[in-house]
Amino acid sequence: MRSSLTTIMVLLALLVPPPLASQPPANPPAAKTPAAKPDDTDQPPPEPDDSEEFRLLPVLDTKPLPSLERLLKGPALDWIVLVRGNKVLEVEPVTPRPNTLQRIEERIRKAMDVPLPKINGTDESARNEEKARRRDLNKLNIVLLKNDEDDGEYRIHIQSIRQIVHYEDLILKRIDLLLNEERAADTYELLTALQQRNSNWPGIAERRERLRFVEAVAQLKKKSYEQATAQFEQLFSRNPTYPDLDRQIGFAIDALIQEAVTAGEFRRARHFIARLKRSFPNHSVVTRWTQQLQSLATKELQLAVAAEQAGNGPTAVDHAEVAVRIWPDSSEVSDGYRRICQRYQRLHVGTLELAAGASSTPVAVERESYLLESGLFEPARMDERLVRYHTRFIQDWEPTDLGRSILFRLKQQSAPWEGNQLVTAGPVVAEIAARLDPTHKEYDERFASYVSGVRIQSPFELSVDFRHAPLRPEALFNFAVPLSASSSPAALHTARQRFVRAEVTPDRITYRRALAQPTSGKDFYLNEIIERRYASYERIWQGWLRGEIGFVPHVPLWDLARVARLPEASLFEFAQPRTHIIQFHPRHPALRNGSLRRALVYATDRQKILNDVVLRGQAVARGRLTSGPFALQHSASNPLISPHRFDARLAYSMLLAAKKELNGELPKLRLGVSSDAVEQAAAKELAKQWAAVGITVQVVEVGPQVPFNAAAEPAPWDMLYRSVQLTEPLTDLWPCLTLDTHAKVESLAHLPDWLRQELIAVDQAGDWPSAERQLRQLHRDLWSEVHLIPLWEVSEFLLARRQLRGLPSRPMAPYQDVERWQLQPWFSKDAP
Amino acid sequence: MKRLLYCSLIIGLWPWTLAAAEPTPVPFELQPYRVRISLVCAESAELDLGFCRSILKEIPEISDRLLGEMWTVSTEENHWLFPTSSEHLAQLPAAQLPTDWTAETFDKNYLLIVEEAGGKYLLCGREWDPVGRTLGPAISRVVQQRRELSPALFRLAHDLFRPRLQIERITDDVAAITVQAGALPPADPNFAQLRKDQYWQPFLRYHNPQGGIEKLQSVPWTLLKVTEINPDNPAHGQARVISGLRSPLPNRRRPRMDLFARALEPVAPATELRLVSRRAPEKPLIGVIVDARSQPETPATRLMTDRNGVIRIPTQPKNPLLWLSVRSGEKTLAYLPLVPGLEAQLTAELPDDSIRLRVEGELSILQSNLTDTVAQRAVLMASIRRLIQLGDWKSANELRRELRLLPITDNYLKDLNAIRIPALKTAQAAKDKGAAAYIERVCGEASKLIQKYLDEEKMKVFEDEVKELERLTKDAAKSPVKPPAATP
Repeated sequence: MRSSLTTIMVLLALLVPPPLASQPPANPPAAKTPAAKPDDTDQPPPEPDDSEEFRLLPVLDTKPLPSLERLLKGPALDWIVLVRGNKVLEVEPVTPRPNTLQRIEERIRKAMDVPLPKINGTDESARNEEKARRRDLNKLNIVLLKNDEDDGEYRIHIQSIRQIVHYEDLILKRIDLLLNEERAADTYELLTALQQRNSNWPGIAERRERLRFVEAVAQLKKKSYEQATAQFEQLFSRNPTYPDLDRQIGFAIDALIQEAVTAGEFRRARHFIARLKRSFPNHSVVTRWTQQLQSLATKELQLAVAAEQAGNGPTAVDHAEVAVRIWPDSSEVSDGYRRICQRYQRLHVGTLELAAGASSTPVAVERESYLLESGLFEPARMDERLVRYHTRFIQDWEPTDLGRSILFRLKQQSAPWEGNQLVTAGPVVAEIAARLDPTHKEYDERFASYVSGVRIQSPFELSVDFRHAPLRPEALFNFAVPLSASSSPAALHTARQRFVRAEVTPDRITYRRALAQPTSGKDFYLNEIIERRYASYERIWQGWLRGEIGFVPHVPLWDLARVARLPEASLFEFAQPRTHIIQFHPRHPALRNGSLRRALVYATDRQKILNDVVLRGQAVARGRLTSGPFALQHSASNPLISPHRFDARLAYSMLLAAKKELNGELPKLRLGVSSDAVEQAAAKELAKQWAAVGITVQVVEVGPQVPFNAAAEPAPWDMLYRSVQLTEPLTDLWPCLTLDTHAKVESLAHLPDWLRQELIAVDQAGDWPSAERQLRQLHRDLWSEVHLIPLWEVSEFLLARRQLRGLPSRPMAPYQDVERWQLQPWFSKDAP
Repeated sequence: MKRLLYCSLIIGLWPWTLAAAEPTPVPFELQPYRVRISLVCAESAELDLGFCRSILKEIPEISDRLLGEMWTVSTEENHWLFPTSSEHLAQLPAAQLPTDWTAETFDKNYLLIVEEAGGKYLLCGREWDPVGRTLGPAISRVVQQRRELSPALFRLAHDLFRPRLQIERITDDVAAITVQAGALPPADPNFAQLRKDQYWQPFLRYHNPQGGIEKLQSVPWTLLKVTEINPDNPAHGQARVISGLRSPLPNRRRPRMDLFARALEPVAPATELRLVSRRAPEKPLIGVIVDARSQPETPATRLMTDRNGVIRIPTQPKNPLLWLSVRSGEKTLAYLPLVPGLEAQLTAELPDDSIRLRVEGELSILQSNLTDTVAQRAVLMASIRRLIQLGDWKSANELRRELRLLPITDNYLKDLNAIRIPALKTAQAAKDKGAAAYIERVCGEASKLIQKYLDEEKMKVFEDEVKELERLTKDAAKSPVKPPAATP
């Protein structure tokens, strides 16, 4: 067979073709034949005889297309279709391409336009050379495929060629077939291969569009409407007039809107309407859904108005919020929303953890306690390194008898934001008495050691007698009023709370103002807080952009710069940083060993964890290493103490000493940590660092640990990672060290005698300078004995929408002064 | 003449005759208790005057029947207690007792009160012992039937009764004892005064030359535990002296001094022991560890004083006696015997140990820092050696600089003096010789420790060794292998 082909090609190349003018080809090439003069053009070769070999050549009409695999794997080939009998030769890709024949003819035509060189005397050599060159132009160089007898290179006269089917065209033909079969993946593969071969081949763009359309339709059939829409939109961006595109995209988006409306996700529905509108502004789906949603929003608003008239504020706000979510562009809806939400103000809070349920952390519980409890005195601000207090119950107080007695005058009038409930001396005295009663569950040993008696002077006056004058009476009376439901009537209990829990679900807690606001009036205050749990801070910021939330009680430091750029956002820095520490289980035998504790502290590269895990390389100035459990800015902090340095060699040396002291055995330790993501990440990093020096530590998640029962068996942890805020170290340090709510002497049993007596001395200090001196000494001693591992302190920020008014500039707690916050009605009008 | 002889005989014999006329003192064990029962009947329809008088009449009869000659009972209606309530009686201070009660006309005085409450009768009483000058704790009883009042009141008086004994002599912590009226056994043997394993509290009574009582002195933290009763004469026996003091009692009786003890009976389910500072008794000792043991070898129960300096020790039915070891850091402040429940409340005055404790804390911190320095020094020296072996002199020299910056012996000795000198001054100012001696001792030990572990000689040897190695390395670098000299 191969020898036959060779013979045919030789014949084709060498036989003289008939003159063009007198003998035109039966099947001329598609391109226009260039004009040629008989004397300077080569004649086509004579027609081959009807040999058996020629007859065996495949005919174009019956020759199958190369398979997908053949086209992908190669080698590339072109089809030369001969004039005679539409016979097909498979050759290696010819050049030039595409439009090979046309381009050759063009070249011939250009050559013919130039006159032949004149005869120089008798010398015709130049003229003949030119003629020979022109004859050569009619011939196409080809390399036959599968030729192993010779090099397979031949020249063929173009007039013998009916057409050339290029490899790329073969691929395109195969792509068309694949697309007809809706084999998008194979098509994509082949199209990619073609693009890599020649991205400018005519026909690629059309196939690409068709592929996208086929893919989109396939997604549509699979009911993957969103993917289908995305494909249609991409197709639209390339070819807005693609046939049937508007109908298909309308179908996809209609389904999506229907789905969103059914799920109550109106913002999503509006998003799809807007998308369709961008492509086809007058699409029937856009018009239909716009009308439907407007109507739905109006109905919701009507329900909101009805609920408002029935005096059911929260329900009214629910409906109003749904109305603006459905169709905020309606002026009727937005006006109605503003009016209702001005009256019943609701704040949506985005957080990672709630005070109840599986996500509960100590920080969340602490945040909630400010809402659910109302302290007799509460920290208001930091002033010259000291905390200042305010009270909502007491008008003024007057120390008498050199501070050994205080006369408290209770408020007889309340501010509009406080409600009308007033507190009289009786219940307050009852609550103080409960703290003095050893049998009461709220008995406070420290309080009882100070207070010797309490008397009611008048309905709004009470005097408290002290055994010895307290240094800071406000700190002593910094407890919730009332103490518990059992200590006072239920009505009073709720009346003196700021907010109460109205509804709890796994993903949200609704808090409602305990005392309803007056129905009439000019100024209204926050009525409801809804804390919503998000899976990550990324989701919180998305929620912020969508207008779902207006308050974030904690902003991670690594996101500060990004958060500051959020729309309508105001960042507030807390007055006090939060200190991260590690405490040891008081009864753990190995951790009582000083060398082991020192090994732990020296093996801790805190700066690295602070930078990498807590700050993530951002806002580096917002975090710093610390040497004690209270804020560095506080006057109790000893400026001469610097944080323990990281020294792995020293840690290892200490560990060897500890091992020796512990009879050669180092126990496996467990580091308890809350569910807070940052704390968990930091704890894991700590465990890694300790493992590097040979201390095996397992990180275990634990719930709130205060108050902690040190005698409980088995102990839930050996070391505890905590983040604390000691507002008033004078009173807070003791409970912090003993993991208790109150300063109980029995909790100090595990401490060395001298350290215990130091803590007691601080507690009993008679004047502020000596208290400060003792606190600084205690700071030094705790540091020196490594009674705990101070890690770092970080500034804390909260994020509030600009429409939220009444927040202190440097808050002490996330919800500080929450009862006087005002929220200007606001909703997101941004295109979803 | 005969008459004269008779007169002179009379004159000659006069003093002897006079001496023989003085009554022979009744032995202590034969002295019955002179008992006064003073009864208050609180106003009530049920408790009219006639009924109360009938009770007063019946009580001596019951006493005669049950105790025989052991008690000589006088009864009286009480007119001075006001208000007439058991609460008031329970809180009555000894100073409010009438003057005739403080005289030793009676050995034992019982103030009893009967109140009617809801068809029941509440009895309450207290004992006043003029010899020991003690007003005992109040004990209450409830009686359902009116007719039971007389025996119940007698029983209450007997429950309040704290017998008295005299310590004859003490040999090797064993006291020979004699019980008052012990030779007058009660008719009912259940009312015997002396029982084995019973605890008694000793006290001393001093007389002036005129025979009057000069002072009473209680012996703190000292108990007598009856170990033996003479089977032939139950008035006599032996008791072991248990005390937290070195020599709590004189070995024998002295002129103008009586050595008595009164019986102790459980009056409360627990004893609240309050620890206070000896220098300032109003200052409670808070957070002080007290180890309680019934036997020296048994494990201690650890207790800690609360904010009032109080520990509550419940009664121990099996081993009533506890030894309390009051701890202050490394030191035992006091070692006290206590039978919980014998007294509801007790106070122990203890020396102020704050100076010593502060020194203990400061030394603990100094020792921690010393440990750090020693460890750092060892680690740095090892690292320097390794770097020199590797020929990394640059890094080794950096570590040498770091090593030289570490605190040395002098630094620590200065720190030690900064602890020692002010503490000594304070101790001397407080005239606390014990604390001063402790400070000297522990600071001396710490000084030795510093010099031992931060031995500068070792540092010097190490530095010399490194310098020598450095010199050798430099010499080796300076003398490269020279090429053979070219021949001319």
